[in-house]
Amino acid sequence: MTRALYQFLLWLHPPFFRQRFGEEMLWIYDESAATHGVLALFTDGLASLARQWVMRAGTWKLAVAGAGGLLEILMAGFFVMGPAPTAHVAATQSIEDPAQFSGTWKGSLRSRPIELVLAKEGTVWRGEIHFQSPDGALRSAPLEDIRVAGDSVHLRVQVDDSDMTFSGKLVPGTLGSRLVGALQATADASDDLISYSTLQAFHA
Amino acid sequence: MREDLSPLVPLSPAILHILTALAGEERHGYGIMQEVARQSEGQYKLGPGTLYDNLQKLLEHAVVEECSRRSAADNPRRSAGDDPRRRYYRLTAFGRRVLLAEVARLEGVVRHARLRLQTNNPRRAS
Repeated sequence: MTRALYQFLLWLHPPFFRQRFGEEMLWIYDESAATHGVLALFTDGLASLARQWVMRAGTWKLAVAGAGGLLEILMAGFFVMGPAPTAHVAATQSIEDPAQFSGTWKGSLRSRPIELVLAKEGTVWRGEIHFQSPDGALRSAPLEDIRVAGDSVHLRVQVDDSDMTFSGKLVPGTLGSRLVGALQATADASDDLISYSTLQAFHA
Repeated sequence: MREDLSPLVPLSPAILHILTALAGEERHGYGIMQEVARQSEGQYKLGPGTLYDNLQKLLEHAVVEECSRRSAADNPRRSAGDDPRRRYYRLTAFGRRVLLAEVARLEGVVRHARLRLQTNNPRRAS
C-alpha cells in the first residue's frame, strides 16, 4: 500500500525527472523502507516533488507571471477607474520562441565534442548531428522525428545499430540560452551504446 | 589557465557528501546514500529525492557521469544478479577538480577560524 503511494508520488514528478530517476528511486524505496522509515522517505519525496516543480521545471516563472498579472488587476481596481488589464498576457510571455532552436548547438558528450544543427524548413524541422566516436573518427547522422514545443525539443537519431532519443529544453542564461537534455538509448543493440548521457550545448 | 568554478563552489552539504562518497569509487544511488551515512557517522542522512535532485544537477554540469555498461560490468562489487534498476555514477575529472577546490576552500575557512579563536581568546580573570 505505502509502496503504491510512493510510486504515485514519483509519478507526480516532472516527466523528465521521473523517466530518468523514477525506477532508481523506487528501487531505493524497496531497499531502505525498513531501515530509513517510510515517513522519512515520504517527507523526502514530497520535498523533492516541490523542488522539481518549483525550481527545476520553471513553473515558478508561470506562477510569478500569474501573480504579477493578478497584482496588476488588483492595483488597477484600487487606483484606476476603468477596465483592468488581463492576467494571461503576462503568463504567456514566459513561453520561449521555437525559432530559438534554429542554428548550431555545440557541446560535449562524455568529454567528446558534439554538434546539433537544427533548421526549420516551412513547418518541418530538419537537422543533423556531428560527433566524435570513441575511436576518434568524426561521424554524422540525420536527426529524425524532431518535435519542438514551447521551450522543449524531442528528436530521434540512429547511428549504425544504435537508436537514441534526445529530450532537451532551453535554459536561459546571462550569456544566451543553453540546450540541456539527455540522450537515451531506446534499444540495447550493443555494449558500446550510450544507455543514457546528459548533454549541454551552447548556441554557436 | 585557471578554471572558473565559482558557479559550483561553495558546495551545498548534500553535494559535498555525494562527491566525497564518489571520490573513492563508482557507486549506485543506494550505495551513495549508505556511504554518506557512514562517512558522517549517521549524522547526515540523504533521502533518495534529495540524492537524485542533486545528481541531476551534477550530471547537467558534468561533475558526475553515469558509468557505461562495460565499465559498470567491470566493477567487482557488481554481481551477475545485480538489480537492473541500479545505475552507477562516478566523478569526472572536472568533478574531482571541483571537490579539490571545495576542500581547499574549507581548509582555508578552518585555518582562519582557528586563528581567530586563538587571537580573540578572552583572558580569564585570575
